[in-house]
Amino acid sequence: MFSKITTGSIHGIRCVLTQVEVDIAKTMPAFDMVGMLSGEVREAKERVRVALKNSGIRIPPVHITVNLSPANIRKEGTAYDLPIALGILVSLGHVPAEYTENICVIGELGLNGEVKPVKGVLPIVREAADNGFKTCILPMDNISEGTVIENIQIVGVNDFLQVLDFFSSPKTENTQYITSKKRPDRYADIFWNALLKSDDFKDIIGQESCKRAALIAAAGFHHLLISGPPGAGKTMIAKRIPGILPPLTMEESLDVSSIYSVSGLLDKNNSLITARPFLSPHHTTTAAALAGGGIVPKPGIFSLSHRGVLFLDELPEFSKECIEAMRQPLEEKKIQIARTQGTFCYPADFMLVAAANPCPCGFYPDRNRCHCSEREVRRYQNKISGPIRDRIDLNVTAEMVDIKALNSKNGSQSSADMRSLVMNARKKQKIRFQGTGLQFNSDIPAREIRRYCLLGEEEKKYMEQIFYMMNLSARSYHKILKVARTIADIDDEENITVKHLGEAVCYRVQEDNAYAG
Amino acid sequence: MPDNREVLYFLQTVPGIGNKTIRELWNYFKDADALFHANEEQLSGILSTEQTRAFLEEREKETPAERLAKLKKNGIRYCSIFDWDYPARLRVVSDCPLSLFVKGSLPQEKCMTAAVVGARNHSYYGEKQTKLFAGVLVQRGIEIISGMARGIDSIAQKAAIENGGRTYAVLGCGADICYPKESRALFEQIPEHGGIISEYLPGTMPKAGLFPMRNRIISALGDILLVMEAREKSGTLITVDMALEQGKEIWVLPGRIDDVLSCGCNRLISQGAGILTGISEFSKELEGLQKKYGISNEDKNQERHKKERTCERTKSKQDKGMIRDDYSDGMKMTSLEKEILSLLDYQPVTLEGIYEKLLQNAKASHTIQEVSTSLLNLCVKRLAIQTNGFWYIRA
Repeated sequence: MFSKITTGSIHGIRCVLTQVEVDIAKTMPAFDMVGMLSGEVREAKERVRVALKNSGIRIPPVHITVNLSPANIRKEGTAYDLPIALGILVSLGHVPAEYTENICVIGELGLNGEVKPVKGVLPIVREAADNGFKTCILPMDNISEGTVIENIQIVGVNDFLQVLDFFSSPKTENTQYITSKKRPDRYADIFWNALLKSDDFKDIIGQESCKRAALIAAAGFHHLLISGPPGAGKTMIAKRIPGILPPLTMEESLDVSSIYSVSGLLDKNNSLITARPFLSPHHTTTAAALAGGGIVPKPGIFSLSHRGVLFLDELPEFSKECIEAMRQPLEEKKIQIARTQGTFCYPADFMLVAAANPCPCGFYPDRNRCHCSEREVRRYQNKISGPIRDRIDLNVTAEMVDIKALNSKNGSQSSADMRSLVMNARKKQKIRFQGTGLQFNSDIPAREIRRYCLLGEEEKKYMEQIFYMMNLSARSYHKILKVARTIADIDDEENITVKHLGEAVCYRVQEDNAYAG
Repeated sequence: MPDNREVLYFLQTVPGIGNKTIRELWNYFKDADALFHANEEQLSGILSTEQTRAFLEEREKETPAERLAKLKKNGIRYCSIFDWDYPARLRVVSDCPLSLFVKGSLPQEKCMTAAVVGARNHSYYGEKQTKLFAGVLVQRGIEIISGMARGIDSIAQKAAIENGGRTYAVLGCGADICYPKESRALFEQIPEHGGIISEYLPGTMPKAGLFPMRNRIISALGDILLVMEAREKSGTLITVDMALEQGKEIWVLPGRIDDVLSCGCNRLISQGAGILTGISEFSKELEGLQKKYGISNEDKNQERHKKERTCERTKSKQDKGMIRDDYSDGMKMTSLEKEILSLLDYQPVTLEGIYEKLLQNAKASHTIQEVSTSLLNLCVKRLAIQTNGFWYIRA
């Protein structure tokens, strides 16, 4: 007899709903599995057979054929154990086929019949809910991930007998295992609370220009480069940036959580990512760790910082491959990894905050302390290659903080103040870009600059002066306009004026780091 | 019959024989022909067995004339101490080089020269002043001698060429080797606007030990020596020592006592060196010096011609200065701009640094936006310069 159970396969971070088709024929006893399976999926047959036996179910000597359809997508992981076992029972007639309709089943089986947690539950449940499934059976340890999703019943099970028990009565009537029906409304609060836990900009003394640049970067989602001598507080500033970004929305949170779910980074206590990610990989990291990869690709640091902040401390110390790997995510906001089994695409829409010393010793251009030669300085700065420099809109310098300042002053702006400015600017951008597919000022493509960054006569004249004086290129000119647009948004002004432009020019990124001389 | 210079070049190309040995040989044989055709027995009186073997081997290869002709093919001129055009300024030095390899020309004897040297890791201050003083020297038709090293040396030579003057680079490697590599453009320009000079055989790679030796040539070729920036215990001060030995007049750019790059200079001043107080004062001083060191009419004409050219140049620069139109109401400044300008210096400061300083003498507090915009206005008015993107100095 033939049966069909629905489960999900993870491809990249996308879920493809998959049918587990089981057929039982009374011919030579055998257990065959097909459907482009990886090693661990093929091993499922041993786990399933023994788990069923130890749950007290006898499998008669029959020919069992299992197909995971669509058969042209590679199946990985151990989440197919439970649907296969259930499919066999349906085929054997222990469970009525109509009971399993509109139900999605995920779980790994232990030899004693225990149901164990798996990775990637969140995207599967999300996909099932979107496709109109009513119920989802999950390992008990994964239910907190599943209950995040609305409009789907979650059934948590500890062992296979509970699954049988659930199906002993028709469909939804058996409610003792159902964990949740509806998502609580308090998520908005959770996101706010997560935000408030982050460090406050108030702790930073001085570095007003860096704080200002961080504010602008956050408001327009511009990438930011902070240069300065060691110990000036570059890291402190970067760490506080997620705290001034608007709280995650449910949609964003699900996107981010899906990535973490696929990577196996979600657990019982931490079923949903509520705060914007902040990742700061060490500079000895490899390009594969950043981009994601492996024989079975897993999301890398770039994807794990999706919708959050990726902080690269000591950017010039990163290997060339690492820095160059950033090109695609910075340009397309996603990263594609090609493997023999296919191309995997992970989202990677992060805000890059990089910190760099101006030279190997860090004190350039203070010639009383810095003994680096011009060549060393140039070589150090050129480690950040042109294409990466192009994607960075803002550049500020941190200064050594004076002991007097440390003792006397308090930081001025708090994160809360800055956040309200950011959210206001974001609101203006949302209205501006409605229906265009753009999100932030930093996304404005060159051909649309005229439309969104309109300059008056006076401003045009001013920019012309600066263009010639500073030998700007068209690209830096555009970057300045985009940043000026964001500054005007922060100042709550419709038109870009000279003061916005002037400030934006001060944060411009030098294209050619050749010694200005 | 090989002549003196041919034999000298032959001896220089024999591996293992140095300047000292060549002098000994010459003093012993007194005659080029006799020296070249000396037998093993005669030679072994002065040379070691290895040197003798090398000498004899090399002698069999080709005639000295052929050997010298090869050098010419590479575009390198050979100027030996026997030649009439060997610089008179060098001839008087006790350990003068026996010969020079030259690409381009040698400094003119009748024209005053000045050696300009300084630190490799210079500051903006040093760079700016070097350009100014090099300009003054060129305007007066004075030729600039330097070492084409990174930093001050290159800046001075570049400024000389840009102002239409002549400049000579004395290298610590073969005259056909460009060191440092990044000075390639300068290396190619100099032979047209002066010359590249080396006492080492073409093909000699730069070695640390060779550089102090070339410094004595730099100081000897210059009638006066200008020191722009020097740390204490630096290569620049070696040049100064040699110049003092050679009895040259030394002019030094003063600096602040807490600037390590000015320590060497200030020390020289305390020891009695001339002080570069400003370009107009120095220009007047030069008038007297030029009389002392002699300047021919021809050079004066040249000078006038150059002056005209520089005028043209500055004029064309001003034309481009349409940038500097009256957007900002001429030179009127806001009080904040004035305050910022008073804080600017030749030591580069960042926006953050300026903001902090303003806050410390705060009468009124300003936002970062006001400060950055005013800073930029100062740049537009050409009162400040943004260097390398993040740092600001006084123009």
